Amino acid sequence: MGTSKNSAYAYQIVGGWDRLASLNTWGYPYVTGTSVIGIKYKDGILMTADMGGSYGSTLRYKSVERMKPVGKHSLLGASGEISDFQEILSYLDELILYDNMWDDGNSLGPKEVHNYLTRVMYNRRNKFNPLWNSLVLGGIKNGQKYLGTVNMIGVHFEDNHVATGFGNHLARPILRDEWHENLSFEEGVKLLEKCMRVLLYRDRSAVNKLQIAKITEEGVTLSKPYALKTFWQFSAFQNPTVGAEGSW
Amino acid sequence: MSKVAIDVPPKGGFSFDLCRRNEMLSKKGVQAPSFLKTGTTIVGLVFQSSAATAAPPTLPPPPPLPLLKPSSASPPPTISTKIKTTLYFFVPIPGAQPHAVILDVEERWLLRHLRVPTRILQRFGSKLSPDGVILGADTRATEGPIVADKNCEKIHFMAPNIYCCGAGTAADTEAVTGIFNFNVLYMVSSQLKLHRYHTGRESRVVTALTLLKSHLFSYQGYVQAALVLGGVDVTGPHLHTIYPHGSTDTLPFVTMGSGSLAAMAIFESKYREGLTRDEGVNLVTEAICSGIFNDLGSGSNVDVCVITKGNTDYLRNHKLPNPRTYVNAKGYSFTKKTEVLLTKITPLREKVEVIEGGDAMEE
Repeated sequence: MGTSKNSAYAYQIVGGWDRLASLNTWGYPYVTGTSVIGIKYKDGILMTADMGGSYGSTLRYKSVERMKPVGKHSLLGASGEISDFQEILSYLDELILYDNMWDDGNSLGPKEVHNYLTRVMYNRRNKFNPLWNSLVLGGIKNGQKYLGTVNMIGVHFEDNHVATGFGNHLARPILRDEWHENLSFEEGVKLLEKCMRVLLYRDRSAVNKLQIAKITEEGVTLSKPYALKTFWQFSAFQNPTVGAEGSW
Repeated sequence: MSKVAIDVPPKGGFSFDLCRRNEMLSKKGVQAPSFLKTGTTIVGLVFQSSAATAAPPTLPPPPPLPLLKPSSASPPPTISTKIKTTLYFFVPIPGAQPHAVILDVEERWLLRHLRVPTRILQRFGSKLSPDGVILGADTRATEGPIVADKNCEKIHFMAPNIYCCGAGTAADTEAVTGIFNFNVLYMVSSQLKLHRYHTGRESRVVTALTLLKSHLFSYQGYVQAALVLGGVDVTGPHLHTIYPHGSTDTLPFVTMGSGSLAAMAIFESKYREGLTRDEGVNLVTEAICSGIFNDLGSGSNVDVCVITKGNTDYLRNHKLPNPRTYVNAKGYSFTKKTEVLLTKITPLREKVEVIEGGDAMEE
C-alpha cells in the first residue's frame, strides 16, 4: 500500500478508506495483463498480446483474450486490470448498440471510438477513480488506417506503432528501427513476433501463449493462440563459470 | 547568530558548522542536492567466432547426435601436434544420464555440433579466430534533467586486460560521491596492480570481480555503482555484471543502466553465438545507439572497448551519431583586436636551471 505506483493517490490510502478499496475504485489492480503491441501495415493494423492474466506475482489465468473487436471497424487491446477492460467493453457495447439503432448507414470508426475512450479514461482519472488500463485501439475505415493508444491517466496519441507497459521499453526501440511503411502481412507478423520474443525473455509477467489479430477493410481476424519458439542453448549458459571459479 | 568573528586557524577534519543550518532548511522543506546520477546505457558482449557454433537463435535446437559416434566424413583440423587434453563436459542427450567424457582434439572436432562452452575450444586452438569481450557505453552524464557532461568516459581501466563500465553514481566525476565511487575503481585497479607485482602474473577477471563485489557488499548498497566488468585473462574471456549491493552475474551478453531495456531488446533479438569481432562491435554499437535514442538518460556518443588475448582496443567515440546540426561554415572570427606594436619572444627555459640528480625534496 502506498507504493510508488500509488503515489498519485496516496492521500486516499493514507486516509484508510478500505471499504472503497475493496470495490477496487482508486486502489490498485488485481488481475493484470502485460503488454500489447500494435503496428500499421499495408492492409490495416496488426496487433498482438499474450494471453496471461497475472494475480500479483502469480500467473493465474492463461487464456485471457486481451484483444476484442469493437463495431465493424476497430480492434481494442488492453493491458492492466482485466475487470476494468471488461467494463470498458461493456461501455463500448452500449455505444455501438446505440449507434446501430440510428440505422443511418454510418458506423463509428476507430478515430471516434478512440476519442470516446479518451474521454472516459480522462474523466475517471479526474474523479480519482481510474480504469487501470493502457488501451491500444486500431482500425481501418474507408481506407484510412488508424492506430492510437490511451492510458489510465488519459494520455492519448496515435502513431504508426504503439505498445503498452513493458512493450514501451523493450518493443518500441525495435519498432523504431525496423518498422517502415507498407509492411506486408508476413513481415509485420515477423516483426511483432520478434518483439514478443524479447518480451517473453525479459518481462516477468509474459507467457508464451499469444494471439495476433489483424484488422483490414474485410474485418477482424483473431488468430488461434500459439507459442513462440525460444532459444536457450547458448553455450555460455551451459557452463557459465568455466575458468572463473568462484563466480556464478 | 553569534556576532563574534574570531580568526581561528582551521583545524583538520570535517567542519560541522553548517549542519544546524542544513537541518533547519530541510525542516522547512528545502531538498538537499541529490547525487549526480548518470542515466546510462552500458553493455557487454562475449564474442567467440568459431564457425562451428554459429546458429541463429530462433531455430529449434539441432537433433541430438548419437553419443560418442563421430561422423567419419569430416576431416580433423590442421593442428600439428596431437594434444591429448582432459576435458570434462556433459553431453546434452535428452533422457540420458549426464556423465563425464574425456576426448582428445580430434574427437572433439568431430563432435563439434554438440553445445559445449566454446572457451574449451579456445584452450587448444589459437588457430581458431580470436575471441574476447566487447564493452560499450554511451557518454552522457546527467544531473537531474540537465546534461552535465556531453562526452564523459564510462569505460574505466582496471588492468591492461580488464576494463569496467560504470552506471549509477559511479560514472560521474563532479560530485563528492562520484569521486568517492570512483575510488572503488581506482582502489581495485591499484590493488590489482600491487597483486600483479606480487605474483608476477597477469590479473584475472575473477580477481577484480571479487575485490569489487566484496567492497560493494560491505557498503550495503550505499556505494551506488552498477558495473559491467569484462576482460580476457589466461582462462579466457569473461563478462560479469556487479550490482550495487554486491551480487554478480556471469553472462554472454549484459546491459545495465537506465537504457538497459532498449539495449537488451537489440541484444535479445540479434545476439547469436559465433560472432566475429566486427559483427560484435556492430552489435554493441547498435545496442548503445538504441539506448541513446530511446532513453532520455543516455545520449551523445558511443564508446567501445574490445579486449582480446594480449590486445585491447579502446575505441573512444567510436560512433558520433549526434553531431552539432548547425555549424557556421565561416567559423568564428573575433572582433578587431588592439594593434600589435611589438613582438618579443623570450624562451623561459633559459631562465630555469635544471640540476640533474639534485637533492630530493625535503618535507
